[in-house]
Amino acid sequence: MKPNSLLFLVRECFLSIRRNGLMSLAALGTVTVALTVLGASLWTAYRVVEVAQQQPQRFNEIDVFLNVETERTQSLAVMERIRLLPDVSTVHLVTKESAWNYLQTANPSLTTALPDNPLMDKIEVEAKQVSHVDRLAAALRDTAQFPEAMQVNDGGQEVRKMLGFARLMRVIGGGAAIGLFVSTLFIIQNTIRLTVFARRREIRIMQLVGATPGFIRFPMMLEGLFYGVFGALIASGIILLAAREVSKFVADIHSPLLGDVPSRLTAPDMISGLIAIGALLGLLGSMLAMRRFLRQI
Amino acid sequence: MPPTNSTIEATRQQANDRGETPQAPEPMIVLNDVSVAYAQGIPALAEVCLTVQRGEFVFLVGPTGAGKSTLLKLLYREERPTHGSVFVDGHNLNAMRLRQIPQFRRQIGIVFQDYGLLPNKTVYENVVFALRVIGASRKEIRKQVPHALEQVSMAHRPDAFPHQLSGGEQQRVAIARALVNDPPLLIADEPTGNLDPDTSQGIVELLCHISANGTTVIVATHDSAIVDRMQRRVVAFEQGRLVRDENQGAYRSLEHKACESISSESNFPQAELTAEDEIDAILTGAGL
Repeated sequence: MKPNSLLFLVRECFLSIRRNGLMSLAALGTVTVALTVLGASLWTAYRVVEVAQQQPQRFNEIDVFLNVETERTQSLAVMERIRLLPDVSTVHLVTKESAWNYLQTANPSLTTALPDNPLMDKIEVEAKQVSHVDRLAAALRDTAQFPEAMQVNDGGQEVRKMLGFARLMRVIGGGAAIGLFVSTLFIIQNTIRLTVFARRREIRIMQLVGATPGFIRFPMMLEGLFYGVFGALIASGIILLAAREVSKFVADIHSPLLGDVPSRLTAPDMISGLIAIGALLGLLGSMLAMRRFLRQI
Repeated sequence: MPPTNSTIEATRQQANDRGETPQAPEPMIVLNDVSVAYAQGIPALAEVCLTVQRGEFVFLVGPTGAGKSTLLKLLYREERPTHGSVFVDGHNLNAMRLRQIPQFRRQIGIVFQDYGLLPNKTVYENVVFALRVIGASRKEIRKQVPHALEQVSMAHRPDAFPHQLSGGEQQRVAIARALVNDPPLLIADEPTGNLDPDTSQGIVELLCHISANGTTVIVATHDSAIVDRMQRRVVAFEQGRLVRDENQGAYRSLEHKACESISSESNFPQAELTAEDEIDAILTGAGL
């Protein structure tokens, strides 16, 4: 294609978008909404899987609370005995004094109400693997071996739930993403079909004066691409804004499951990803919408 | 009446008979035993043989559904014959591949009853559009568009939009668009269908003028007054069949006119027609 013709087609495309103002706005709005739903669903599914995958690392920790009367030397001895167990990765003693100091800073009103430090020494044990947590917790609960242990807390049950949930999310998220991709494709196809329908007179004249099929298709494809890319840009703005608000809300919830799990997906990654999806959907949608005309030309 | 010049060979034979050299120019259009049937098996054209020489002006006449528009569609390869062969400007349209059609159509100007102008483009832009889509350079556009508008006497209103023009002016712009590429063949399907008699006369005179400059012009029309006045070649169709081909013909055949004349001069009292009879008569007249 000659550069002169290319310039003409690009100008024709944008002229058509501008002249069919309301129609173009409706098309862009529809594509934006569709891409926002698709993008937000993909992002949510990705974050849920990401958070779920992070959880096991939190749950391979076991907290062993020692009796209040346990001396410090005894506590250290218990810690050394635990360190010798085969499934143990690291062991760390949290003294009752340091725990009390932390509590005084974190919740001074509570500590001032108490006459004395009621806390006990705690040994934080980290298992080598999540799957070893159950076995290790059973060993630590063995009173014959560790009579000093008053209570052993582990996240075995939660670990199993979270792993199952992560697996489920991957399957459901994948299926939903494919479904949303296809439905967005059809929305874009229908939107472009409407613009093709609005320009049928122009297309007909182009056919009759001897325009090649490629020449006729090009502005439509460009229009689809424009709606896809521009819609994706707006959609990513909406999603990022919503994500920020949701993150703020989640940060206010004190839950062991919703701790700080940094996302590996950055904002530029998300924007470029959504633009790529939008461009692909725009082009595919235009091609599908033009299919009838391709047969005729 | 049998059709004249049924095949290329026949045309060449005639040229030889007249003592012309065998290199005589090929006819612009040759239809050889052409039939077109639609899906339901209804024949739109049946066994049509027709030859149109270069530079000729031909009226295609006949009632609605007679096959005029189908014949025009065959000429710009919108339709394909179910039987027979179609040659236009030396191209065998039966053997033409899909990708060759755009290039072929650049040699044909097409004019429609509804003008087919783009409403959001000016007169100038509408004519430019036809050149742009075939990749013409700016230089060609600057040269050819004003010339085409001058030919149709519309050079004074290049910036007007179609809705600001009268029907006749819009049709002139449509003709300018069809002519701008300087095609050897101009096809007009009911070009005066939406126009008053005076404007229609002006449009047909313009088409005659274009034909006089060497362009072959084919006009499908219902306008009997224009056809009778112009005294050009008339090819008549009825129910898909070519029924008459006269060099200086009229809308109706002489026999038909004679019948009409006898009927109107008859002193016999005519039975009063009911509404149903009138509808039957109209349908019968329209070939339905």
